[in-house]
Amino acid sequence: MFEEASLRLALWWRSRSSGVTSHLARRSYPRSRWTPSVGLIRIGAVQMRPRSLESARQFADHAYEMTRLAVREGAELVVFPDHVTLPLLSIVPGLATTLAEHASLDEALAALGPGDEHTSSESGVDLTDVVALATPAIRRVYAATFSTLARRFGVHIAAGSAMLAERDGRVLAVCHLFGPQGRLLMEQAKTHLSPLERRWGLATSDRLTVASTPLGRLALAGSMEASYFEPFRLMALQGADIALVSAADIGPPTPWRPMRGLWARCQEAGVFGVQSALVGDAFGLEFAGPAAVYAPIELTPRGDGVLAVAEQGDADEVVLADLDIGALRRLRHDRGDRRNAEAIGRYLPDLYARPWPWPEVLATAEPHLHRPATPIPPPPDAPAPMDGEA
Amino acid sequence: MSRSTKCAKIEQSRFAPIANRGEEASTSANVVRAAALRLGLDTFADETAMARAMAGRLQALVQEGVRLAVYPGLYGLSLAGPWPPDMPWQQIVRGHRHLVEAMRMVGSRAARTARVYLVPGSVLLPGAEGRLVEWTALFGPDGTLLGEQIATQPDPTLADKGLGRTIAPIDTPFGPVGLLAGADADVPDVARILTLQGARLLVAVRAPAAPYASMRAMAGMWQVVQQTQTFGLESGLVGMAAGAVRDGKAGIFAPGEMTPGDSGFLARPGYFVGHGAVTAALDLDALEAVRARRPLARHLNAALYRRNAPAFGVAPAGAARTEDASDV
Repeated sequence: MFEEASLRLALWWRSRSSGVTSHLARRSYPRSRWTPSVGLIRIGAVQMRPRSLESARQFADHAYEMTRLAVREGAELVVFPDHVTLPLLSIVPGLATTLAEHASLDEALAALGPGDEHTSSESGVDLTDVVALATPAIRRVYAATFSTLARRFGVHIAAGSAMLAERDGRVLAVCHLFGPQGRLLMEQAKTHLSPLERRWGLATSDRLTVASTPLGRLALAGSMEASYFEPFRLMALQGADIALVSAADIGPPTPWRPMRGLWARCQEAGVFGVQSALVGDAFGLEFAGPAAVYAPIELTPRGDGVLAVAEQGDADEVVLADLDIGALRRLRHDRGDRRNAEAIGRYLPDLYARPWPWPEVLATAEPHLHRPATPIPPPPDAPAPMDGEA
Repeated sequence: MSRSTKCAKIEQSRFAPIANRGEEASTSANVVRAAALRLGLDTFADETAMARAMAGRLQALVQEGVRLAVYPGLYGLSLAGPWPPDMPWQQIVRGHRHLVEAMRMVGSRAARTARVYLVPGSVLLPGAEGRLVEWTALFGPDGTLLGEQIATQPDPTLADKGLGRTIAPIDTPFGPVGLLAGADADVPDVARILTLQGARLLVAVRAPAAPYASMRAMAGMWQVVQQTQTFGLESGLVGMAAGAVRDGKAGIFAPGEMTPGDSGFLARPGYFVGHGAVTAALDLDALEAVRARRPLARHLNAALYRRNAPAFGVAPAGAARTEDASDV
C-alpha cells in the first residue's frame, strides 16, 4: 500500500502540469513565414522518431520542436503520430531502467514481475496495467504539452493518440484535437486496432464523431481505421473534410502500403487525408512511415491522389500541404452519393449483425439471380424473362 | 460466320504468366489460373459466330492452363452491331430484345467449347419502364450457367440505368465467386457484401469511360481487393461503346503480401493496357493463409456500424431507383 502510494506520488511529481507549462513558457514562439492564400489551409503532418526520455520536459521539448518546424512553414493544423506518448512510460519510476536494460517493451514488461492469466506476456505485467497506473500522469503531460503549444503557436493540433485507462478498466488509444486557444475540441478513441494494439490488450470504441472548426470539419483516426471503408464512410456522412490519421505502422515500408490505406479511403470517401507517422526503431519495434497528405485524385496536380510525402523514411520531418476545402466540397457535391443504398441495405446491416466467424455462404430465401446450376436450354424462340422464370 | 476478321484471330497473352509470390514452390492443388481480357467491341453476325470467336481466343490461354477467363464489360454489345452511326445507342440496344437469351447461349457455348469457366463480359438489356440494366454471368466448362448478376450501383456514364438489388456470390468448385458489373467495383459495400457471404474471388467486368488513368483504376478493384483480402480480376473494354469512348484496363490482383514488391498486382507489371489477356495463378490456400495471419474481416467493428446503421444501407431520399430482377 505504502509502495503504491509512493509510486503515485513520484509519478505525480514527475508529471505535474506546471513543470511542463513553465518549461514551455521559456521557449520562443516565432511567427509563420507563410502568408495564407484565400481559401487554402496549410497543414503539417509530423513524422518523428520516438526519443528516450528522462523527464516530461523532454517530451514537451520534442513536441515543441516539431510544432515549431511546422508553424514556421505556415502550418495552421499540425498532426502528430500514433502512440506519441509511448516514450512517456519512462517516467514511471523504475520503468526507464528496465526499458534500457531490455531489447523490447515486451521483454521489459516480462522482467517486471509475475503476471496473471490475463497478462499478454507469458510472465510479467501487462502493458494495460502499466498504462492504468500511469494514465493520470500521461494525461497531465500530454494535455499540458499540446494545449500549451496550440495556444502559444495559435494553431490547431491533432496530438496523436495516447493510451489511457478508462474508469471501467478498459484501455483505449485516444486521439485528441486542441484548438488555438488551447482548448480540447475533440477526443476520439480508436475504433479499429492493429494486431500489436490488440496484443497489448487495448479496447475499441463504438463511437465516431467529427469536429467543426474554422479550418473545416475534422475527423480523427488511427492508421488501422484506414484499412476499412466503414469508418471513413461515417466520417464523410458527418461532413468531414479532413481525416487526421495518426499512424505508427510496424514493419518495413513499401510504396504500396499507403495506397492500401489512407490513399484509398480518400478516394472512396472524398476527404483529404493527413497521415502522421512514428518512424525508426523503438521499444524493440520498427516503425515505418511515411507521413503524407492525400486527396481525391481530382484535387491533386499530378492526378495521383498524393499532395505531399515525407522525403526521408526514418527521420524527424514535417510534411506540408495546402488544402482547398472549397474545392473538396464542390467535388463532393458534384459526385453526390453514388450508392444504391437500397440494394446495399438488403445485406450489410444483417451481415454486420452476425457474429464471427462469418458464414461461408449465407442461404437466402429471397428470389434473386443467383440460381442453382442448371443446364442451358437451347435458345428460345420467344423472349423469356430473365428472373422468376419457371 | 463472323464478319470481323480481327475477332477470329486468337489473341495471345502479352505477358508471360506471372503468379502469386512463391507460386512455383506451391504444391497446392487449390490453384486456379485465370485470365482477364482487354478488348474492343467486335461485330458478329450471330451467336454462333460470337461463341466460336470467343472460344477461339481462349484456346491459347487454355493451353497455358487457364481455367477461368473474363471478357470485358459491355462486350455482349458485339452482338448488337454493326452500329448505325446516326442512331442513338440506347435505341439500338432496345431494338435487341433477345440479347439476354443470346448472351446465355454465347456464354454457354464458348465456355463449353473452350472448356473453361467463363464470364462473357456484360451486356445492356432493356428492363422495366425502358431502363437499361447491365447483366453478366458465369458459365461452367460444361456450358452450365452457374449464376447471373445485374449491376447494382449507378454508373455516371450510363444515365438512368436500372439497378439490380441482388448481391450474391456464385458457387464454383474453387469457391464462391462474386461478380461486379459496371460501377459495382467502385462501391466498396458491394465487395464487402460478397466477401462476407464467402466470396474469395471477385470478378469485375468493366467498360469505364475515358479517361481512366491507372490511379483511377486503383481506387476501384485494386483497393477493394486489398481491404477484402480476396483475389480480383478486372477486364476492360476499350474503344467506342454505348455512347462513350471506353478505356478499360485488365489486371489481376491479390493482397499485397502475396504479390511481388507488395504491389497487389499478381500479373506484372501492373495494369495491362494492350489488346489481349493477362493471366496469373490464384493460390486459394495461400490466400486463406494470408487471411488467417491478418484477419481484417474479423476485426470489423460491428458495434460501430450497427450504431450508425443508416450509413450502410438505408436509401436516402432521391436515391436511384432499383430494378426488381423480375422486371427484366
